[in-house]
Amino acid sequence: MPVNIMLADDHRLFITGIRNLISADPALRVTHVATNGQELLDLFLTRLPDIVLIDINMPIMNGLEATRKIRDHYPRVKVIIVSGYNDAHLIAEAMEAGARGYLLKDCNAEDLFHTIHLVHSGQTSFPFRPHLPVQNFETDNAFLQQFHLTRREKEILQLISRQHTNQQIANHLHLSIYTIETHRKNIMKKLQLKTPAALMKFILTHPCHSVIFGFYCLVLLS
Amino acid sequence: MHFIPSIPLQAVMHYFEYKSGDVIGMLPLIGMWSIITVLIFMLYKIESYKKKEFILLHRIHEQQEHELDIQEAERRRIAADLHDEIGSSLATIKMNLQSLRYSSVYDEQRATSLLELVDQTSQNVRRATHNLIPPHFETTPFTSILQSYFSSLDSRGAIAFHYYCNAYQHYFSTRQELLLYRIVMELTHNIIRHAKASEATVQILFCPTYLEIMVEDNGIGLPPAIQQGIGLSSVHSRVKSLEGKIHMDSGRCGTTFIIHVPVSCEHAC
Repeated sequence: MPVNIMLADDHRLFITGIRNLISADPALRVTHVATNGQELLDLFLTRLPDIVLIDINMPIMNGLEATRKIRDHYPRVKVIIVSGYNDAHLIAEAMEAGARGYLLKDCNAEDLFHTIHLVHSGQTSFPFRPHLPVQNFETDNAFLQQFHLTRREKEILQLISRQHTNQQIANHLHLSIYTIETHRKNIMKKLQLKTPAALMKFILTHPCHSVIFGFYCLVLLS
Repeated sequence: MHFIPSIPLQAVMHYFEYKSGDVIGMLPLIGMWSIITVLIFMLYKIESYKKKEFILLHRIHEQQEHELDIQEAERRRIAADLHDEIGSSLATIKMNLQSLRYSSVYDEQRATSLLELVDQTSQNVRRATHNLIPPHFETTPFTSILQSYFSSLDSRGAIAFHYYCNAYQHYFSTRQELLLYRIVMELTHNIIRHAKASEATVQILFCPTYLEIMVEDNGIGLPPAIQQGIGLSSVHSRVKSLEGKIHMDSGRCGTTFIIHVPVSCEHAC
């Protein structure tokens, strides 16, 4: 039994191109094509496909919307998004909408066949993107890390612990006093502290103190 | 005739006598009065000029906002055309090239080099489209788009970018989010182009009544030419359009931008 595939894309020439390409594999068969999400869902009434290849940008009902509907009403139909966009936030949205795979429109034929077979066998296939949060503010102190303090904020925290005034910190770091005040406010917010006294207490009682002392030594040495 | 009251001649004479006798004594008083009158008149004029100035400034502000909107609409249109027409056509060309059968090795080699060219062009189109406006901007929080931008930058640039955003709040309209996104992107590009920095931090902090954008680098400070340049003036006009405040702090140890944008009442409450 060949895998039954439906295509949905408003670009007719693209549909013809991908259809020609798929026809090279005897294990795959394109049964129907649609030019938007609604048309595709209407086709489902006559027959359910195994796999749907669907574009994101389409009139009337776009691909992501159609994918959500298919997930909710036809959970057995597997959806692969075929899009011209290569953006992490769209790939994440496609995953969230219930797609099993994501292909770029200008992918290689091998990738196309590979993804279709992979998804048909029940697996998922998404382009690899390192979607790690970019906030690698030092890893030396696990305790401070939970507050997401930036390097500059830690530097200022350390200067505060040395009883520096805002003006002294500003001179030391070649910044304006307004910048320091803003940093100070942000530090307090991130540490969920309300008063300067609470900040002092935090500095004195938490393990960050030793690291700050280390920082202090470094600054003295340099 | 008898309706006109007759003025006694004596009274008139008396009036003129009185007048001519004291006219010199009253001169300073008259002078003061006229000066006060002129002053009041001038104050009134200044007041009306101020009003006019205010109206004109308001009109310029509106004009600038309108220009920004037109610019964005145009960008969207070009991006949509690029993606839908050229991007899709390139993909179609590639699909068709891949499904062709070649009779000789030579033909196949030529097809392969054509495919490479198509790939390259597709990538360029994709980059250009993304630079015009990130896809599906309307349905994605601008902080997520920035997140994916900085995670893609992080791996290839000479500058280590750190990005941090606290819990996203839906404070702003799409139009305002686009302005915020452009502000951050412009400041980031400035760092890449001019700051000669090795590290930079971008923070987007949602506070109860305002949004704070803080962009810092450890470079050499912005040269005056850049501070007066088109890029930063576009940042200023966007901040103004959002009724926000911008603070720049540039020195030999780097540059810090702090931008505060107020949250409109309906969202803040």
